[in-house]
This record gives sequence, structure tokens and C-alpha cells, in this order.
Amino acid sequence: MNAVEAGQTVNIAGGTGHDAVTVGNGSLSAIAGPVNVSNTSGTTSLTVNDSQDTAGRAIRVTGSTIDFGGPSPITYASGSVLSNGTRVGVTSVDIFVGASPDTVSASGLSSLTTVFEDSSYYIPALGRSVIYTHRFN
Amino acid sequence: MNWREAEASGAVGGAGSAGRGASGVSQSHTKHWHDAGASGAGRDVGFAGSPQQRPPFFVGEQHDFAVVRSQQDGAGSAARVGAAVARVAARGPVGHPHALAASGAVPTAVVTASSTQTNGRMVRTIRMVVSYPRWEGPVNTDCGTGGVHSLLCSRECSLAQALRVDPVWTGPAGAQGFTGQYALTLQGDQLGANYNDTMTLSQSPNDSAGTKATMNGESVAFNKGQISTVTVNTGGGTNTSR
Repeated sequence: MNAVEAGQTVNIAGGTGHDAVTVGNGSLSAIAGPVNVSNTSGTTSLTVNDSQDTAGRAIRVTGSTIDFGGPSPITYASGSVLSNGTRVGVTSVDIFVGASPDTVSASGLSSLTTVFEDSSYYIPALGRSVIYTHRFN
Repeated sequence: MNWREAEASGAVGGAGSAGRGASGVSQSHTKHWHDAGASGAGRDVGFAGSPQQRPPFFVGEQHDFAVVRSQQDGAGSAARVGAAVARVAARGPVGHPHALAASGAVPTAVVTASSTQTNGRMVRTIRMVVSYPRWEGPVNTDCGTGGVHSLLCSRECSLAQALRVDPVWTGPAGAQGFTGQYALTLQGDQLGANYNDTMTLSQSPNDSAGTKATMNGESVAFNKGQISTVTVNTGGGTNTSR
């Protein structure tokens, strides 16, 4: 979901199997409406990509929302286990931050949804970038 | 640097565009888009449906028709046809910067219904139609993702998948006003059970503030404000939404 208009709502419902949902194509500046991610029959990995955004953001993650300072937060249905033992819902959240001073904080997370902050650093000695990942839970 | 973006693209070319005739569309009420998407595989997208179930505008930039009522009486099927709005395409609130810009488009006003009220005033429903030499399909096509008449879709326009667009009403469907907006649904697995779909929402190439939806390489684009809700049902498989 690279762009959501103001006043527009995007609902993404996953199905059986595993889905990958990405919000933002490097910047969240074009996400002007709510994005809701759920999956009641399979699992979904949710990625929020603000890695190229020149604006610093304070991103706050809870057990059901990702507030990035936009008009509406991203909401997600955290992981759960059905009575038959099937794991469903959003089982991972990755927040890709950029060189701009993005900060990520997390609280009230579900134990069935792992939350990561990922940041890329260029290492001159290696001649490439590496990704530093911090796991919140 | 791009990371973790090596998901399967799942892109397919979709069906070809063969089979188009050369008749006007005033009776079929079709809408025609042309989306020259970034993929370079721009496609025409057309809609068809019952006028009783159709809003007075079809989304898109061109070839619009409008239902214009001279007066509202709030009763009868004719009222349901016309009560939605009284707007002219080029001035509609949803914005049509390219309205009637298509070459060869011929706008024509057609009186589709009339009645006399108790006060003696005549109520006429006037439908603006545009004919152009592109056939887009029959009326009342069931695209397979919902009931007949209940949807607008692209199935008959040679796309392999239906990108469903439903009008948003202020009350029960067809009985109240048309908001001028649509609900877009992207339904996965149209190319096969558990197909690994790739769906993308991005900015419209025609209106950067609008919405472009791409599903497995097939795209439709909308002007700003035309789509109020996007619902993505990925279905089975390993799907990617971005």
C-alpha cells in the first residue's frame, strides 16, 4: 500500500496461507487514510517501510495499532490461535526506519505477534549496507 | 537499499484485448478507462450493469454520462434512476479533469423517464450518454464475484480479473442518493485456487492524488475522491500486498 487518499479506508483481509503486507514504499507520507490489516484464516507479516522518508517520525506500536504520526494509525489484528490450534492473524510487524531520526517505541504487544525495528547502515569497509534489527518482544 | 523485497512478483499478463467490436455504448451504459500504467501494459477497463443499479457516473476520466433530473419527486423507479444526483460530468464533485476529452466522443442527452406530479409539474430524467467507437461488453454482466447487477467490473473488458467497484449510497442501495464515491474490492485467487496474488495500491498516473490499483499486473486508476474504501481479500496462497 504505497498510497492511501485522505478520507479513504483500506482493509486488507488475508486468507489461508501466509501473506506479506507492506505499507509505505519507503515513506509513509502518502498514507493519508487508515489501513486495517487482518487475517482470520491464515497468517500475515506486516511491514511498515519508512526507510527513505526524510521526515523523522515517532512511531508507536501497540498490540493493535501502529501510530506513525499520520492522520490515522495503521491497525492490525494481532496473532491468535484458533480452537483447532491454527495460528492466525498478523504474526509479525517490521518497522523499517530511515536515516532520518525515526524512533520506534512499543508497548502492550501480543506475545503472538513479534515486533521488529529494522534500520539500515552503510558500512564503508564492507561496501554495502547492513540491516540492524531490534526485536521488541 | 531495498530489503526483503524479493517476494514473488506473481505478475501475469492477463488476457488479451481481442474481441472488441465497434459499436457505441449508449445502451450498455459502459464506462471506459484507459490506464497507461507504469508497467507499460496499460489496459482499458470497462463496466456494464443495469441502469437501476448504476450510479449516474462511472469512475474514470473520460466518456462519462450523467443522470440529470429537473426535479426530484422521490417516488417510482424513475426516481430511483435519477435521484442519485444531478450533476454534469465535467463539473461533478468527484472531479473529472479530462471529462469528455476523448476523441470521437459524442455526448447526447436522452430523456429516459418523465412523470407529472400532483402539482402539475413535469419531472424528466435526462441521461447524458457518450458514444465512442469502443465496444466494452454486454449489460448486466455477472463477473463471478457477486450477484448479477450488483457490481461494476472489468471482466467483460478482456481483463483476466474483475476489479469490483460498487457505488456508495447514502441509504439502502438504489433507494437513496449516490455519494459520488465507490468501494473498490480486489479479490484474490481469480487466476486460480491459492494463486499467489500481488496487489498494489499506489498513486494514479493520471491524478497523483488519486488511486491506482494493480492486481497481478492489471491496473485501474481513479481520480482523487472517487474511491472511499478499498477492500483487499487476498484469498489463499502466499500473497503480497504493497
